Amino acid sequence: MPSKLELSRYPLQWLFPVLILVVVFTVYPFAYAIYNSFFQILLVLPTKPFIGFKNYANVVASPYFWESLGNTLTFAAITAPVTVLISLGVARLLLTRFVGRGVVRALVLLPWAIPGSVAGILWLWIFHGQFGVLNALLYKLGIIGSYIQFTKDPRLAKVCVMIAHVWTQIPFTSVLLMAALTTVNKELYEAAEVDGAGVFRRLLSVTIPSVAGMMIISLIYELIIGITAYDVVYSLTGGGPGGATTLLSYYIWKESFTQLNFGTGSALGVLVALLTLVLITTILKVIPNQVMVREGE
Amino acid sequence: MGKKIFVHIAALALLAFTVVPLLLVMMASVLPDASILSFPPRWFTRRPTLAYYDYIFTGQRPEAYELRGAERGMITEEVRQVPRGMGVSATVAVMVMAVNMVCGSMAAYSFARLRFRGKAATFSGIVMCRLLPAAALAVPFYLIIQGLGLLDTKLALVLVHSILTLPFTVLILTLFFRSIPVEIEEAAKIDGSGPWGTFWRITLPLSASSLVAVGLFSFMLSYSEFLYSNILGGSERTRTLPVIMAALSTNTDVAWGMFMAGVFLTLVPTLVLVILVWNFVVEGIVFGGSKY
Repeated sequence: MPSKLELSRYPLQWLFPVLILVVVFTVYPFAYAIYNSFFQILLVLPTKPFIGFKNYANVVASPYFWESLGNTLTFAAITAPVTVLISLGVARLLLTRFVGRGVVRALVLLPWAIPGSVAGILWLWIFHGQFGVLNALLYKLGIIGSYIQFTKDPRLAKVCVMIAHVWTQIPFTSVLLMAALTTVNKELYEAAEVDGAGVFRRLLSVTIPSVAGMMIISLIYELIIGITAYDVVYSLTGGGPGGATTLLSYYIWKESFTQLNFGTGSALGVLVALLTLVLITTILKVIPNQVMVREGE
Repeated sequence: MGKKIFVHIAALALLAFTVVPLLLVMMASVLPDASILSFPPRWFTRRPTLAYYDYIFTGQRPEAYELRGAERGMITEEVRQVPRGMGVSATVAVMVMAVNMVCGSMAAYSFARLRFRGKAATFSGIVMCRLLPAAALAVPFYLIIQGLGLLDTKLALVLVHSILTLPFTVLILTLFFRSIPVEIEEAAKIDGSGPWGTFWRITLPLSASSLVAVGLFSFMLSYSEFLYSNILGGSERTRTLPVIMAALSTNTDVAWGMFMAGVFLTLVPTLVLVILVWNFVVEGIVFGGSKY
């Protein structure tokens, strides 16, 4: 093999399958989406007239767009930090000794491997308005006299979708944070304890700074996942009631594949991609550089 | 002492949050519909039944429905697609796993061991591709797959799922290959082995566990993927489990217990996989880099 210092020519024979699959099949479709967004493409019509920015104008003029944009931003802004914070607790817990830790460690990973559309159904059975488990339980306990329509009330439906989404996301971020926590220097804790730092003090001054890099990575990851969430919503509420739980991805799907309006669908896609891009760059700008450098050591 | 109690309570709460939704599905799948639909709720007054599972696999209608013709509409043929959907999902996921292990490891090796112009740009390009929201590409993918004449084929799903999983595979394997001491490979070089030979004979066998971990990870992502499977699939030949399940969830005609039996069947491979090998996968991915 060539030693590390030898400069070889571009190793196309090693890279071409991945380059073709990933780069070509991402860059080209995205360029194609941008191109399509300037045309009126209705699958029911044979022609494809150029209409400039009209698709974008239509999107911006649509109240459904603003509603789903608002929903998506709220959804991501709440679920991402909540997921990361709960996961930090879970990661810390799973590194503490207790009876049956091995079993808990394995079972906690379960929601990760469950398809999102199925996870939505699991929670639908809990939140169902006619015969859901939660309703039955609350009724039996005498807390409610009649069933609550959890998935039919706009506000409650939002909460239901968030709970189900966070449930599916906790395992992955917990594992990431566990990996980060295991690298924290034990002496830091001992030093903190000697200095008389309590549990919270240690959490704030030792644990969080030590894993800040991974927390930010997880947060960015969860924000992206939140902005693009789709399958849990699809099977839990179907975007309803009204448009209360319609997130952008669901809206794109609906516009493109039920309204068969591919031009507007493309314009929406481009807007979502831009939104993600702006978000990631902002976060990377705002967080102190140190954090990222330390992570890359 | 107080801390110990707190830790155990926290662990129990976590366990409940994770597992109870799954147990509830298992429970519902053996309850007769009359129990589930009863108000005030009386779930356990009737005898549990395996009739729904029977129907899914054999088409044998549950007795309760034969007796009360009015509710026959509550049975849907769609649930019977579950076993077939499992086959479709598994086939696609296995192929995605193979693509990831072969193509992903080749690319990762060149990033870890070769020095060439444009390496950093190519690497970040591949990883960044995954940051583009999947929904943004839904329409162009549909049109491209349609143009290639691949709509409603398993190949289209394999293709798209590979695109979604490869960036992660390349990232993880690159980190792992870098952690293997170069000296081991230098020895092979002295024996006159080229990069290709070294890769196949030395590096791959050394990384078997990470490779399997990454492979299983891509398997799981493909097995769960819904957005593209829903758009690109169509007939029974290409309907994956998540697609069937989502369709059932919006089907008001389906009997709840029957539906839950379908959901539970969907979960079985997941449960088996997680309990047997998932810890290994996680360790391979997260802690793999620090092995040497």
